[in-house]
Amino acid sequence: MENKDTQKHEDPTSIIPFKFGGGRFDEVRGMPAEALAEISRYQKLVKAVARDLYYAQNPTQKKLPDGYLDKFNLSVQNIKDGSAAPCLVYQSKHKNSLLDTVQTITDTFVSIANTGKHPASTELSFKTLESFGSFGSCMQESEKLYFANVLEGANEWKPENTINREAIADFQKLLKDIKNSENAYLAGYVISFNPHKQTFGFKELSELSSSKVLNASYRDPDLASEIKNLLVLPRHEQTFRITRLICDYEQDFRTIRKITDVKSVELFSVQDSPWANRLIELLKFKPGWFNGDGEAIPVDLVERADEILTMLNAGNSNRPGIFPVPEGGVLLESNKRGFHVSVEICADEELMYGFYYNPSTNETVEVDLNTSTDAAHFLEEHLRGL
Amino acid sequence: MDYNGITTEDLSVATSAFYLENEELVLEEGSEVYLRQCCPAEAFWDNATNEPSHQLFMLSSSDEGKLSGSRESKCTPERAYEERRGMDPNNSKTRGTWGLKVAEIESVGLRAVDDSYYVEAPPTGHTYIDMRALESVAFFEGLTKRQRKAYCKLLQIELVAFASARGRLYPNKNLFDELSALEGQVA
Repeated sequence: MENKDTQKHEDPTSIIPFKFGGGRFDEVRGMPAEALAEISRYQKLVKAVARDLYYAQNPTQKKLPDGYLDKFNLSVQNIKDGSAAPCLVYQSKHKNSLLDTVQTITDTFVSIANTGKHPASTELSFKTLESFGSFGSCMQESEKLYFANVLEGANEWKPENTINREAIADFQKLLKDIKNSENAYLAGYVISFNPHKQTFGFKELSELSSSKVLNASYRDPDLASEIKNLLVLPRHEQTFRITRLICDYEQDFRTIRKITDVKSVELFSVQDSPWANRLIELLKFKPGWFNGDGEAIPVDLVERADEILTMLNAGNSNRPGIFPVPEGGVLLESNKRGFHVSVEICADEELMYGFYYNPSTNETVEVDLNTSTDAAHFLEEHLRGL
Repeated sequence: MDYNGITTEDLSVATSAFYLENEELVLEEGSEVYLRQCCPAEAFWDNATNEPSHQLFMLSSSDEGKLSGSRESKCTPERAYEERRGMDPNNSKTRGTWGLKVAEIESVGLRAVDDSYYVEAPPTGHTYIDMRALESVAFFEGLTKRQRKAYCKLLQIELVAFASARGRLYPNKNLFDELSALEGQVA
C-alpha cells in the first residue's frame, strides 16, 4: 500500500501526474467509473501542449514531424488506491519531452489555481488553454485535483498544487470574456428599435437577401438618439445610408449570433467613395463563398482598402481591382500585359503584403507593408511601370 | 517561370508523376482551348477594371488539386457559360467564359486532363488543369508557407495574363453588359 501523500513509482517509465482527492475519491477504492473520462482528457491535453511546445521550440517549422505526437501516448498501468491516482506509462526514450509537457500542464494549473490566470509567459495557444477548462469537469464540490511537480522526481502532493472545479470554471469564463472582448465592426441597417429595453434589430449587408436579423443590446442610454436617427424600415433597405457599428458580440463558428453591447453607431464613411459599390459588394460575401472555403470580409479591412485607394488618388476608372481573398482579406490588384502589382490586406494578422512581378525580367518583389501609406506608395510606384 | 530554385521543368515532372485513371485523357493539341468560368462572379471580377483577378485560377480545398473547366472541342464557350448559369441559382452567376490554350498551360509546367468519362455533372466535356503537385508537401520541400503561396500566385498571374490577352470568349461586351445589368451587378 502506498503512502497517500507521497508519489512513489519504481517503474522508470511510469508517472503519476495528478490525482483526485476529497468527496467520492476518499470513499472508494480505485477510481469512480464516472471519472475515468478524465484520463482520456488528460491524454488530449498532453498532446495539445506537446504540439504547442514543439512549435515554440521550433519557430520556423510549419508542421509537426510525422508521428511526433505518438511519442506522447500514455497508457494506464493501474490506479493507486485511496485517491484516484492513475499511474500512466510512457515510452522511456521520450522521457524528457514527456516530463516537460506534463510539468507545463502542472505549472499552468497551479497558476490558474493561485492567480486565476494562466502563466503570463505561456507558450500555449488560446485553443489549448481552452482545453484546460474541460479537464476535471467530473469534480463535485469538496473534490480537488492535485498536480505533481514531475521534474522534481518523487515528491509530496503540495497543497498549493491543487485546484477545484470552481477555479477551473472561473478560468473558462475568463477565456470566454477574452474571446468576446474583441471589437467587431459591422455594416448594415438598424431595422427595429426598442429604447425602453435598450435593444435593436440589425441587418448585416451580407444578410440583405435573407430574413436573418441580429438582436442587439446596448448599455449606454446616450446611444438611443443616434440609433433612432439611423433606423431604416425594411422596405427602404439599400436606399438609405449604411450604419457602421463598433460592438461586442457572441459568435458561433464563423457566424455572429447576437450583439451584446454597442460602443459606437455611425454612418459608414466608405459609401462616399467613388468605389463604394465595389467595397460594399465585398461585405456581402458570406462564409463559404468560395466552394465552401472563403471567410466573410471584415468591415475594418474594407475601410483599410478605402483608405489606401483614397491615398492612391487614382480615381475609380484607373484604380486597382478590388477583390475578396478566401482567407477573409482584401486584395487590390492590377494586371497589365503580364505585369502584376498587388497589395493584400491580410485577415489574420496586422499585416499587408505587397507583390510585384515583371514577366520580362522574371523579377518579383515581395514586401511586408505596415501602414496604409506604405501600401499606397508601393502600389503607386509599381503601377507607374505597368 | 523560375522561383526560389523551382523551375517549370520541375513542376512539369512533378505533375506528370500524378496518377491518371484509365479513361482520363491528357489534352495534347496545343491550340485547343481549356474553358474556365469566372465565378463566383463578384469575387474574381471587378467592373471598374474589366479584368479578372489572378484568383480565377486559384484552387479551393474541395477541388482536390484539379481546377475544373471544360474543353473547346466538346463544349462551346457559350454552352459552358449557359450551363454554369443553369446550375444552383445561389452559385450560378459567372462573369463569362475565359480560355487558355493547352500550350499555354503546358508552358508553365501544368497539364489539362479530360475526365468527362467520369464526371457527369456540367460542364460538358469536363476537363481540369492538373494542379495536384501544388498541394504536395514534397514538391515544396524547403520552402516556407509564404513562399509556397507566392509560387502559386505567380502561376496564377501567368495563367490570367494568357486568359486576359485572349479576352472573354463569351459573352461579347454588349451582351455581357446587358446580362450584368439584369443581374444588378454593374457598379
